[in-house]
Amino acid sequence: MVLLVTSDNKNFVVDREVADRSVFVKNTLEARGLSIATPPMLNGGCFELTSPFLQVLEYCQHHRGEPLPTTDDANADENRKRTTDIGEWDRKFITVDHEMLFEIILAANYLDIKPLLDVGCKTIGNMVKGKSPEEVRKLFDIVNDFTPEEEAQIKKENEWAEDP
Amino acid sequence: MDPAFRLTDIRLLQHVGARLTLEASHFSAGHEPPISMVKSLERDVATTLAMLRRRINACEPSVYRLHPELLSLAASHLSNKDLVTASQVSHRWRTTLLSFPRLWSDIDHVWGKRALTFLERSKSTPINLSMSINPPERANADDFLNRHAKRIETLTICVIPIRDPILLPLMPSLRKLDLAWCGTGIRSLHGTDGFIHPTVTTLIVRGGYAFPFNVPRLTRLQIHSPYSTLATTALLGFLNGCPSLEELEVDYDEQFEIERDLDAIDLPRLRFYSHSTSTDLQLDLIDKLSFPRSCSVVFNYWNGTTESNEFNDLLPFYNPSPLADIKRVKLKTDDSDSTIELIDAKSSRVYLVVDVQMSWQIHRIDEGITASYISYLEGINIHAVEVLCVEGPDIWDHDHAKYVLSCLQKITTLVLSNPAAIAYILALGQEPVDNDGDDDTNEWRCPMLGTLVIHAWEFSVRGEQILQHLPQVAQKRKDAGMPFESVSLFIRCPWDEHETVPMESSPALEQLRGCVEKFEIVTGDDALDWNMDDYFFDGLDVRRDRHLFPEQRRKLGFAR
Repeated sequence: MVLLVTSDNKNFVVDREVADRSVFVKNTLEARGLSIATPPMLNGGCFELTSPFLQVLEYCQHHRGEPLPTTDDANADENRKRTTDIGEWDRKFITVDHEMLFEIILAANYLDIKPLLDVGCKTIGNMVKGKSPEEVRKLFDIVNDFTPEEEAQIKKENEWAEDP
Repeated sequence: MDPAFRLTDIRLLQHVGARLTLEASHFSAGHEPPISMVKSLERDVATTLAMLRRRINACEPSVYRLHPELLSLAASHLSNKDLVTASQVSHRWRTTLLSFPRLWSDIDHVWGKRALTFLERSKSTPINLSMSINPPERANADDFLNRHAKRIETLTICVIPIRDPILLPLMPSLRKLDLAWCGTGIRSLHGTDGFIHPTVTTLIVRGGYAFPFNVPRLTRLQIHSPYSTLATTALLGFLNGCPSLEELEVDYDEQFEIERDLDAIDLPRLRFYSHSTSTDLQLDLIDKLSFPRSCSVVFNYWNGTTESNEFNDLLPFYNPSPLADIKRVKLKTDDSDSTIELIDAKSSRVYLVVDVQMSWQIHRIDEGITASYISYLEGINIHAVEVLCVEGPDIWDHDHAKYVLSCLQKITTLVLSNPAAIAYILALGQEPVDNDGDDDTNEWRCPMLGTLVIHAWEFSVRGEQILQHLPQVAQKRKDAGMPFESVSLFIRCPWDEHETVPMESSPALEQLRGCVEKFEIVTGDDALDWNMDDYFFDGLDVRRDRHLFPEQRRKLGFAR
């Protein structure tokens, strides 16, 4: 068992197999020979940590025991980087509000859980897919902040953007 | 002050503020400023607005919390068209995406403006190039390839046969070459024999019959060339020059006899071999390949009794089963035991699928595919048939079920589908009789059988029909010292709607649970999620990226 302490001082006791889904935690434990890790100080601790961490733990619990990504898998990822396929369980898991989605991605990045990071990034990709720039702005509450020069450039771009 | 407001921004605000005040005083004094000045002011105001909006974006949208690397990672999953869209969302997204040249490295239409822009944006990173070479564009294609040869990492090229030879330039970064011959006519790269591409590790050839390159570092080779005139002898010659090969997938028909005196090709690093073919005219290749014992071997014979066929390109390469080729077994056993040894080398198991979805109208049971296949099995010394899947016709002869099972005494796993399930369940529970009895065997059928899967996805097979016999059969086998280790029921139509007790809590099901170590049941439309391919591949050592494992089995803790 491993004790994980989050930056907001919440303790989580988890199986080593679950904790090892995080390469960060795994390496930390192996390097120090400890069973206690204080993993995440995410983004300078600017947001509540426990909530995404619980989600991350749920993901690690579900995928415990699966082989960790290898270099070969990384190459395979490179080959299929344009795909946005997500497994059934992962898809349901990642169906959360935007805030939580971004926090999960940040946590997965910090804790070095590549498969989860992949799921999060693919989800964003799926949200953008097939939409116009204006629709994407609306989706993510982004304001169009281009200067007239940039707008002119984009207009020119759109002459070829629709190439088959 | 937040660093989002830079000094230049503040100056711009002050400048525009002063100008607006000045122009307002001009207007109020009745002086009409020149239009050029108004336009200039409008531009400055627009720029100022953009700056203010950037400030809003920096504070409000939660997606901005993702730092540039993460945004680029998300963008790496986008198509080229969506990538362009994403770069037009906001200043920050645009700046970020343009600062990752790798995102722009997939060039798919080399003749358009988009390709030129992508080439520019990808800067000096390696590119993945997809292009067609048609006779009219030949000169452009040659020129393009030559100009960018140093940057090409992946080349997917569709060649329309033309008269003049195509000479691919030396591409020092090329790792993957995907070569497709389109149309008819000459299908060879004349004049390129022996041309060395020293960095290529993956080669995919679609169509054609020639291997014009020397690729000494090749680790993955796929040949998709059904109905081609590819000669196995030529392929073997090519393989001889690929000592590092790890994965070999071939999909072609061996139509020419191989030169018999050829030595076997040693592929010491091969860990995955897959062979699909639509005919069984020749199956020479495998005899001439020497595999390490750890190599996974997958056969797929599409013209057998499987559901896939050559007219449906959408079917996955492995569909419907890893070893559906019963004829293959027949052929090899005519020769020697070498094939059995070879398959055993994988994992000491033979994966065998008997799909006897035959038509009563066409075949008679005593001379149809089923009967002949089963008789072949009888003569083969198979150590353990891992899976037998039976999808029977509506009416299934119980005696035939007994006969099939008696031919497969060493099976460990049995998958039954639909109507056949009933007859086979009964056959499994048949008590041994001596030679004078009605039955033709004095042994229990399939004494090594441990795993039973029933996949009843048709409405014609109901849960109560399964449970009418299965608990008793399980009990009998348990009493005889041959219990089922696990029973999985995937039943779409579980129970008569007039029954008062739900199927899951029926006494029959309870009895069944008591007879087996592991039990699972999935009913209703969820039962459709189970499929045989998942089951097979779960146990096969094939590349994970070719197959998604079923979530549900893991969730149920029912790992094989």
